Amino acid sequence: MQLQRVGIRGFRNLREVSLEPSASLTLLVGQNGHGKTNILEAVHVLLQGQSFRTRRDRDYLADPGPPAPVVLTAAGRLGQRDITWSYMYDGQTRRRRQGPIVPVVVFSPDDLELARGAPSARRHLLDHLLSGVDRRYARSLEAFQRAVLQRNRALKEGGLRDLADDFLPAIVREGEYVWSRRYEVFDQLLPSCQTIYHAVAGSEAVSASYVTGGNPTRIESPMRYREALAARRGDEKVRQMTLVGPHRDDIQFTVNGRSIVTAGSQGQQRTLALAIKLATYLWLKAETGTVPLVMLDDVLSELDGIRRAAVLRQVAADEAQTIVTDTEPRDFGVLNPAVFEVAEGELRLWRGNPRPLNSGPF
Amino acid sequence: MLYPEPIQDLVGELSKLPGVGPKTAQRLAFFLLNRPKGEAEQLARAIVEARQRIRYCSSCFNFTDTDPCSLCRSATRDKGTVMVVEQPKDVIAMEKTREFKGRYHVLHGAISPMEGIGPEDLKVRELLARIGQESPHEVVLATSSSLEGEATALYLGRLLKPLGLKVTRIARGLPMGGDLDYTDEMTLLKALEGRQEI
Repeated sequence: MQLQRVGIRGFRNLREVSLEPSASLTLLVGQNGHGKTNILEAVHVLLQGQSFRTRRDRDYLADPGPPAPVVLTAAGRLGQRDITWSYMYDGQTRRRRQGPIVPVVVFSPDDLELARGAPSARRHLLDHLLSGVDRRYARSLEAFQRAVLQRNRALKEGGLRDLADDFLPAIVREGEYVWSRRYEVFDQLLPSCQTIYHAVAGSEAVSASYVTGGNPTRIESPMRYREALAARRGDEKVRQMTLVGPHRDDIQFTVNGRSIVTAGSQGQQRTLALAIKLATYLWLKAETGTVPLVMLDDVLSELDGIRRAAVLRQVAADEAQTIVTDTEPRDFGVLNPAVFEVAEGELRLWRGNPRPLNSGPF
Repeated sequence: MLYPEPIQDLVGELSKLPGVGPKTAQRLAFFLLNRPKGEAEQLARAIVEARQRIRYCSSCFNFTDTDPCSLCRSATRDKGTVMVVEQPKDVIAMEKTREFKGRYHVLHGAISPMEGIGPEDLKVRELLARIGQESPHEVVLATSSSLEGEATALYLGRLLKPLGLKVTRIARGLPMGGDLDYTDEMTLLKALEGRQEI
């Protein structure tokens, strides 16, 4: 996938921006709060149909100022085809036209949650990946979550307790499918995640295991799910909630037998988050047959030279079109980025020091 | 600037209707004000009339202006079969098939613990009483195929089976004229499970 032109009008603080990104690496430089991330977000809305920051289109509207419609357009090439994308929102209705959903991988400082946050962050990553490529997964997940909510409420309300098990067939049916797909993706992601971690961290090797929610082993058939639920029946009555299911899954990452999530160093957690995201990039590339667009939002400054090189080697130096935001330009050597400056919602070619002071490994 | 109070009241009342937001309510209000006076009065009368004359049928709990309703009074309808549906509009939909000759029972909702809706809030006790009196030989569960509709059907199945009558669930599957490759996996799966010999 090649993005050739992006037009943004009235999106958050961006009045009128037109960007022609490089085929390989594009650098958006500017101080915080001037609109760098808004540009990435607009591209995400175009290519993915939704933001990575909010679920409400209303948040895109420019404030302050009179209400003006948001108009986003993009042109690019997918394989041999010319493609255009457009998105409009006037505060009431949204229109998204033309252009397929194409894979996008965003790295942001929040990704550290994958390596040190709650299990929900890791479940969320798998759900996001799968929902993007498998519509049945998205539907099953939603139906499963609703069935669990209904059942949990029934378990809590004295008068409705009798109804709890009427939601079990739906829980078992949808939950089993959610597991089957999550196990599959986990098994596919793990080897590349380990390879990348090892490449960055040198001597250390990470291992990981998939922890099935509420059960010591994987549950791979409806019958086994029913058995596992039956085994926790007493507990469920006491705790008044559904204790076995994908809604309680986790992934445990360990180095030398110690959990990275609970006992890892900052460096280990950063490397892990990076390895996980790069593994999802490779997975999406293989799964969809399209090279994802990669956006690094404000992460390069947080990475040391070795990790920065690892990211860029995997994406920009591979074949991914990459857009990076940073507070200052860095030397990317052979990658020869197109550099733009973002200031007060406007975009212009970088006119600063042609030889950046901050030399990195490139 | 605010509208005169009568207009504000009208817009306020209209925007309580389902699917009507403030903008649409405003449009409807101005439409009514621009029509001949008689039309607005006719609408007002129709609303009052319907509200006064329509009630639940004491037998099937469908909306009716006579009790029992015309379906429950009809001598040609089979007393031996009762079809349980969620809403009055489901009765209309089923009647359009002209295939079902039994009687109906309208639950007025489906079980949904999240919204605090249990069997007590539906016409379930009334269904049991009715089965006790009329002793049909078959109850057809025609609640919707949503999560809540399914749970309601399972619940009723558990309740009615021990009474020794035939309890059936309407089949799910392909819509007529539907292409196989446009059908989602869940529907296909159900269609396959419910396949019949020809």
